[in-house]
Amino acid sequence: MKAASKPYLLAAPLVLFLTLTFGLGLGYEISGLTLRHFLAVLGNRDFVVSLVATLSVAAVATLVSNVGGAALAFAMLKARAGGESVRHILQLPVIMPHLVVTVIVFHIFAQTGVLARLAWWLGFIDDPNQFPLLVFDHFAIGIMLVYLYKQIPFVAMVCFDSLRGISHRFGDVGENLGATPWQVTTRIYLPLLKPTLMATALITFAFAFGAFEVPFLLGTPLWRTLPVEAYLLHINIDPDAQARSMAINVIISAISLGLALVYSSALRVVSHVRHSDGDRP
Amino acid sequence: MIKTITIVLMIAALLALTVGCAARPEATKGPSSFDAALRSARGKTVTFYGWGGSAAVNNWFDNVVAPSLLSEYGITLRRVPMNIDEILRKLSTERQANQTRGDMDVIWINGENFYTAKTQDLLYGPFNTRIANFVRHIDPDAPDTNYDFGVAIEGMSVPLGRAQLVFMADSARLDRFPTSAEQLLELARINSGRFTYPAPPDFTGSAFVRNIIYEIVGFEAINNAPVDKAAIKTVIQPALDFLNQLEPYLWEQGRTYPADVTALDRMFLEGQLVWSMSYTPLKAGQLIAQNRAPASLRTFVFDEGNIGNTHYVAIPFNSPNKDAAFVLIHHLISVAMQAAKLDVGNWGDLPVLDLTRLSETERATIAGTNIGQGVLPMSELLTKRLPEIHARKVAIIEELWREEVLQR
Amino acid sequence: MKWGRDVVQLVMWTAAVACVSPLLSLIMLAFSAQWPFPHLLPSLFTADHLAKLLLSPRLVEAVTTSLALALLTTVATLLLVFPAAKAAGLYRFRGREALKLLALMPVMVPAATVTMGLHYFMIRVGLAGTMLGVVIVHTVFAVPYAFRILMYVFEIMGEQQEEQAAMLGAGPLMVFSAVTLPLVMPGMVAAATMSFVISFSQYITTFIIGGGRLLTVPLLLVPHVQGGELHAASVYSLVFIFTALAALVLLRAVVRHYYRETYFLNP
Repeated sequence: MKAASKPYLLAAPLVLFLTLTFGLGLGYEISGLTLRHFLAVLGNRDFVVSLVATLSVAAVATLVSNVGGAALAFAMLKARAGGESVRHILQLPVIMPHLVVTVIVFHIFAQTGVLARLAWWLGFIDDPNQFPLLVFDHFAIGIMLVYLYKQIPFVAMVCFDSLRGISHRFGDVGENLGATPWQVTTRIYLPLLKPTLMATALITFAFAFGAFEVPFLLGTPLWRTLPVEAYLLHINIDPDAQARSMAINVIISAISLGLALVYSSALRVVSHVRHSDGDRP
Repeated sequence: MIKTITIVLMIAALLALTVGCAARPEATKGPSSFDAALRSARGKTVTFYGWGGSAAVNNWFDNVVAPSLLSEYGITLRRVPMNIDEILRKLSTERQANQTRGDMDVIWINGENFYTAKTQDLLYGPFNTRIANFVRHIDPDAPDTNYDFGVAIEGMSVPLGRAQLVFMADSARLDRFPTSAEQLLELARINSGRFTYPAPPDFTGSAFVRNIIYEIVGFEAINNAPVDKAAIKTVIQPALDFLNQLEPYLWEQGRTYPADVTALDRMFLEGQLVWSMSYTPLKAGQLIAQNRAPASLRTFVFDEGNIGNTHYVAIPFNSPNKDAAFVLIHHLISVAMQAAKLDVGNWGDLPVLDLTRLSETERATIAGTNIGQGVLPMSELLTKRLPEIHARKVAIIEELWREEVLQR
Repeated sequence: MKWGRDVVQLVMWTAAVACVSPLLSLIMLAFSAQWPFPHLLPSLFTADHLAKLLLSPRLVEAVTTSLALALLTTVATLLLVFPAAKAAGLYRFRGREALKLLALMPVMVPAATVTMGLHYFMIRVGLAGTMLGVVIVHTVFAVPYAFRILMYVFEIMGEQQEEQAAMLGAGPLMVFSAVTLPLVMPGMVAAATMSFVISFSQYITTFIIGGGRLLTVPLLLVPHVQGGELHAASVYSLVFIFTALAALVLLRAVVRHYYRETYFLNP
């Protein structure tokens, strides 16, 4: 019925474009690296700490923002007209640059921030130093707040967009057949949303794992995330530091890519099961 | 699909190589003399690339330098805000790609970055003695004419201004200012949790740590130490011990530090800390003039002196308008521009001119400049000015601070 | 049931307020001179730099350049991504997973790394410092978002609708404009929004490839954030936010105008 080459022809422009730009750019940067640089990076005593810290921050941010974002999207779907208005508002955090959000988080959550001032007026504290440390702290709360502010609305927006075209029909049918809202959510919306959530989770994780500005400006100096380590090596005048910085960037990319591969094969298993059940929407 | 990608990649690589060999424009040469530069630069546009994070500095370039450069020399100035790390990254890629006509005519540079640029051969020169105002106004024997963070300049850059680490406190909130390391410890003990400093490698925080090292072990000791981590550690151990002794009385008991001087400033201005520090010696004057701090704000330095360094301008190897670059640099170190730069309403940066070479009226121009309230007089700053050590030792000290003070 | 609806409204509007309230912070910061603890409002207001910042010709140049770059990037991204996302969303073929991974790669590799390498080639082919060069690099980083969004839209839409139309005798152009486009329009709008936003907020890539010849709003804004000049940073942030929002509202309005019937009657 259809020429087997059709999907290849459709994909060709994008593949060509990405290999010519992204492929060349990356290839050029890693061509000068040797095993020695990787060993130097891996042998640094701070490396494991950095790796664990970066992974944990990215994992927590991903988990919270995707669960929160999906919940918000469900609420918006349920609210119908109100959901559409909120959909407009969600664009605000999505367009706000991370650096600006960093400034705002400092302004609200620092020990002299808006919350601390409210606490003072309410009589909970009488000195800024008594307010809990939420930026530059060892638990990366400040960093996390920036990611959540940006990512919960992003996830909610993408989920809402991918659901609203189709879901009302399914949801209405479900409710007419006597399903409870909880059943509608878990049996109808969630399966429909699974591929979208898989993608947003991957994107949010990769972003939080590779971002440098936010942990650089709001993190504790005690431990550094891998991208911050890479940046500091990059501006170091030691002649070998540039290459080690690049080696860290390659490691960051490799970890993200590895996780994506594991992830997409998991996704394939999931979707295979679904297709054989014959419930493809 | 993998196969397709491989083939595409190979074609792309081939393409890139062919194009790369084809395009090779002519290299730009520097002007033969300053007068020739003055003549040929008229009508051109010159680009200045440098840090753009200060509205005061930007204002001086955009509203003082640019109009006068246009009216006096017929040259248009285009200022591009770009961090020096990115400037050098760009230049180094352009060097590798053999780009002989770049975008940048003049860059703002000093310290570690000058060392990087010089060793990677990213600069044009030597050129400084071909700038008329350099010969006229600058002392050729001054240490900062010849060395930038201990790195020999060899004519590759021209001083633009002098910075110095200063401390600031509000006299209404702190009745006595610490003018030595010992006093700092004592006052921190009394005002527990109200002092701290930015975590190195923040530029200012790193300078503060060096300043403490000078206080405790002396400039000569660290300056004479070899560029070697173990050797430097032995030399500065007493200073590291002092910082550890200070730590429990700092903000959050020194378990964490502000990420940069910007954060320190905010914590000070919002009343959480009793002191702040700056590399702009007239910063207090600016803050008062802009109404961002009360008039009771005061500047102070340690009795033994504070670290000062000089910032410079240089010309990249691939500057497309080297003649216009010459004229811009000439103009930047004119008496009028240096006086305007000193004015706290503009930038508040110390001049690099050798006052003994100036005429009576020129000296009066400088002396009559408004440096604002709450600041130290230029004479005091200059007598309490300590030199910088070699740029490579700075990175080692930052590493040692992290291991021996922060993570302890 | 009633209770459930209240919870839904509460969750949603709490989120909305949380999204908007930082704007208040920015507006206050833009006008505050002194704001010591524990005052809830600035103790001294100022509007000194406001006029100077807003009226500077550099800002006009930056806004125009940013908008032009974002629009071109959006168009380029959609043109490249639409067919590929259709392939990945509708057909099962060897290499589909590879395509999906390739399209996701730009999100996974730190942007500065790729851009620095790309800069080398851009210099060689004469694209460094040009509008086209910057649009290309922005497009690279917009692709992952647009691709994923559109791919799922196609997956959900399925192939049947196009086939039915074709069987009823519609030509390829007719199928595309009367069936495919209206069906994927919400997805297209979402993909366009993300592409626009990604391009509009690019900093490091514009920096490296544009080399300072192209001045965008983030290029003006970021140095002030780094330098701690909250005044200027807040003013530029507000300019950034409102320009982007206005452009997006306009985009949606245009789309709605053209696809009113299908978009609303057949959600």
